[in-house]
This record gives sequence, C-alpha cells and structure tokens, in this order.
Amino acid sequence: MPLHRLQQDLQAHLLNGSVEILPHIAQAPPLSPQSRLAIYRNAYVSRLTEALRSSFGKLHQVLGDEVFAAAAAAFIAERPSRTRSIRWFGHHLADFLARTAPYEAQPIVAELARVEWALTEVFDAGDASSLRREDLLQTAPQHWGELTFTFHPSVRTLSLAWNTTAVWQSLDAGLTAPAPQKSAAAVTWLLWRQNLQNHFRSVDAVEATALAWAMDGAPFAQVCEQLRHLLAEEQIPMQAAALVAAWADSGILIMG
Amino acid sequence: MNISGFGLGLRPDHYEAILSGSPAVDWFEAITENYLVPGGKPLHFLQRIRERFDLVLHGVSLSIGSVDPPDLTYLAGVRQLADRFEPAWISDHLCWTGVDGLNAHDLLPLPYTQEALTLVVDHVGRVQDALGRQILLENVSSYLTFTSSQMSEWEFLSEVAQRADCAILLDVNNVYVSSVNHGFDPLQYLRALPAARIRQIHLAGHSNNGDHLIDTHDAPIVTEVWNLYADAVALFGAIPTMIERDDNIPPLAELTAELDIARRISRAGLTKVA
Ligand SMILES: [Fe+2]
Repeated sequence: MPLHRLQQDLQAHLLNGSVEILPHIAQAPPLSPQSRLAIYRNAYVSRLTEALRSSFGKLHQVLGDEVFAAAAAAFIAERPSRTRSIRWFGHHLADFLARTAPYEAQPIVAELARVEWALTEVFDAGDASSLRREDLLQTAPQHWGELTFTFHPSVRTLSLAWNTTAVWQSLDAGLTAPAPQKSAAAVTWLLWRQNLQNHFRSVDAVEATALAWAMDGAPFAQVCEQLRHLLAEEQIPMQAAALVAAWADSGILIMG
Repeated sequence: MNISGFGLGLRPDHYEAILSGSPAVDWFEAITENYLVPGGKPLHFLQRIRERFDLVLHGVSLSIGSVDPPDLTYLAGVRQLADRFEPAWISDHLCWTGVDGLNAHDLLPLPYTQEALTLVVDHVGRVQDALGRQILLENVSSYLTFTSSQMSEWEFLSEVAQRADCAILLDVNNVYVSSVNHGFDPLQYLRALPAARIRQIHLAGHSNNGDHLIDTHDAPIVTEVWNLYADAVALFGAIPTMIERDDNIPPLAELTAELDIARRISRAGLTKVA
C-alpha cells in the first residue's frame, strides 16, 4: 500500500474510527490490532479535548465535564485541526456552539467561548511599547484634529448581549456563576494586555463609538464628529480628549 | 555553539522559579510551537531565561514523515525564532502528525519501508536547507507496527540519519516503552545506532497499563529506564541529557533532584568506561 494511502487510512481512523487501516496493522501479542488502534484514537480525542479545556476553562466549568466533553467531541468531529500548534485549535469553537444544537439554545455558551478565545488572543498577541499620556501632549493643541491613533496589537472589542463577563468574573473569583441574563442592549467590551496581564472592561456608548472610529484609523476631529449625536457640542472635545488620555493610561495606544 | 551537561524541558509552570532561583540546570529545551506566537508572556519569559541559560528548540509539528511536503512558512517561522534565541540546535520527531493538510497533533508511527525511508531522507534535506543547519530527529514511542515494514525501527532511524546526514535525539524512555509494546530488546536497539550521530538524550516517565506502556511524561522515571540510560552512557559517553515532564508537573526542585540521579548514573558510567 502506498504511504499516502496508509497515512490517509490511519488518519481516518483517528478522525472517525474508520477501519480501512486495520488489515495493515501487524498482529503482535499481547495487544490486538484493534486495541493498538484504539490507543491512538483515544489519545487523539483526549488530547484535543484537553487543548479545548485549557483554552476554555470557564466554559468547561459552566458546562461540567460531561457536557463539555460531548461538545468538544462534536466540534473535533466536525472540524479536524489544520493548525500547526494545538494552541490555535478552538479558534472556531464559539461559532460552532452558536449554530449547533443543543448549545445554540443557550446563546451565553457561545458568548462565553468568544470571550475566552479573545482572552487567549490577547495573551500572546504581538508586543509594542505603549504611548504615555505625556507623549500625547507632544502634539500641539492646534494639530489634535489630525491626530490618528494606533492601538496595541492585543486590543480586541466584543459586543456581548448577555451577562457573560459577570459569569466569567464570578468563576474567576471562585464564586458561583449568576444565572444567564440577556442585557437590555448589547454592551461593548474592551480587552487588552498591559504589562503582560490581560484586562477587560465594559465601555459606554460614547466610548464605544470613539473606539470604533479611532481603531478604524479616523483622525481625532472625525472621532469627535461621530460623538455629536451622543454628547452636547461643547462637551465633545474635553470628553474625547479624556477618553484618549485614559486609553494611553491603560497602555492600549502605541506609536503610529 | 554547543551545550553539555543536564537540562530540563522548559514549562510555563516553572518560569518564575527558574528566574527567582539558581536551579542546577545547565540548559533548557523549549517546545518550538509554544513560542511561535506574536508576543506576550511566552516570548517575554523565553527571552529572560535565554539571557541566563543555554537553549535548544524542540518541535512537535514538523511531521517529517508525512507525504505532505515540508511547510516552508512554518520553517521560516522556526528559523526566525532560532535567529532570535540562538539555540544550540533544533530537533523534532521521526514520525508524521497528519496528512492532506490536517494535524492530528500526535506523533504517529511510520511503516519502515524503502518508500518511507526515501521520503523522510528527502524531507530532512529540504528542512535542513530551509533552517540552514543540521537537525536532530527523535525516536518516538509507538503502539502499533505496520505489516508492510521491511526493517526494524533502529535500522530505519540509523539509515535516515546516515543518508540524510542528520543527528539523533535518543529518547531512552521511548525506546523502553516501544520495546515493551512491541516485544523487542531495547539494548539491541541502542547497540545498532550510529553513536557519533547521537547529540542529545531524553528521559521521561510513562504510565504502565499492564500489557502496554503509554508515553505520558506524567510521572518520575522508572528503574528500567534508568538502567537503560546507564547502558546508553556506557555505549555513547557523555551526551547532553534532559528530563521531559508534561503532566502532573511537580515543583522545579523535584525535577532538578531527578536530574541529579541522571548526573550520578552518567558519572558512574563514565568512570567505569574510563
Ligand atoms: Fe522525547
């Protein structure tokens, strides 16, 4: 049998238990060829499940061992890994949970997976030295209108419809998670890394708008322009400047 | 650059302990894939540890034996990592991890055939060209053999190393685990290897499932593996040796104490030979 075919058949056994490869496994006591294959198949499923458990620790806590293992098995069966490092396996878990029964019926499950995955991305996103508040003051007031902002590679924003971060925080503090609850309106969360530590917080409508435009590369004047239907005209420059200063303090702005 | 003495596999659980103390470890082995990330803690700690210790890189996804061609993007990333951290060498496993673009994230066994030999030798050549250096290939633990195999694992490994001109990372625990699982003599395996090509030794614990052993790296090294290590020292001399621990990871001091056992065995073996 050509090597390509042999590898396809053994891989198929790992992925779905297919037994094409069985006649090509040598008979050698004390183990049967079936038990020898089973060692690999079990190791495959448990290794990938373990990788998901380590990326989605809170989801595992919420679902419990059994349900988590079932969700992992269904995901593993649907999306065999194409990633180099096992650390990236799980990239599509949140999407999978959002559209697969029975998990789709509890949307907070997929949302929690989104939060946890975003945090894994924040953790080892690229490095860059942050701007300080003083660096911003290098720009003369009359040039602030043209100022654009570059964000730290770790910065992520998520729009969450449920009390997902409250669940995350309770579990992180070792407390019982609150019951799932849908918010009146979706809330934007900002996630970033500062001094090697992951952080996240919610942002209000004004900051969410400012962030979205600034992250899109809009200059300060245009960011202010977008706040006109949210703030009184005279408040805009001060409030927008205060937001930018707070971003600098959190370390999310870097040199452009 | 070269290294000598006794090392440990670098694990995130030990970052702080390594940097806050002066562990009796001559060098560390970092898992390549764990540091092929854009930034953050992994690269930060690797940088700080590299400032104080020698380093080797050990990959788990090269998949040298897959019929898929070597992944040049991956190799460029590994080379970049090596340029930054200057490891004494780069190793990976004599196995395949997936085919047709998939990754099973496991070290899967090859059939020991001429076809596989030709393919692996060709791939090693391409990998060594892409990395600009000689690589080390490690023998893996295995749980099955193929009916199509025409030679033993040790013949296959030796042939690969000689024909492709690569070095060998000898995992003594893997030899032992496979010898039990397949019923061969582990000493015969060691004796058949080209001694001059063995550049590094791995030691690790495994789990005993009664009629077979699994290479779990979750427990201390067993007596039989220490004995086989003594045989390896007698055959190959002072080869840089390290312990791999990937699960049930104990405090750093427990692993350095285990490393002292390796030091004692090595010293005793070298004295005997002399
Ligand atoms: Fe090893």
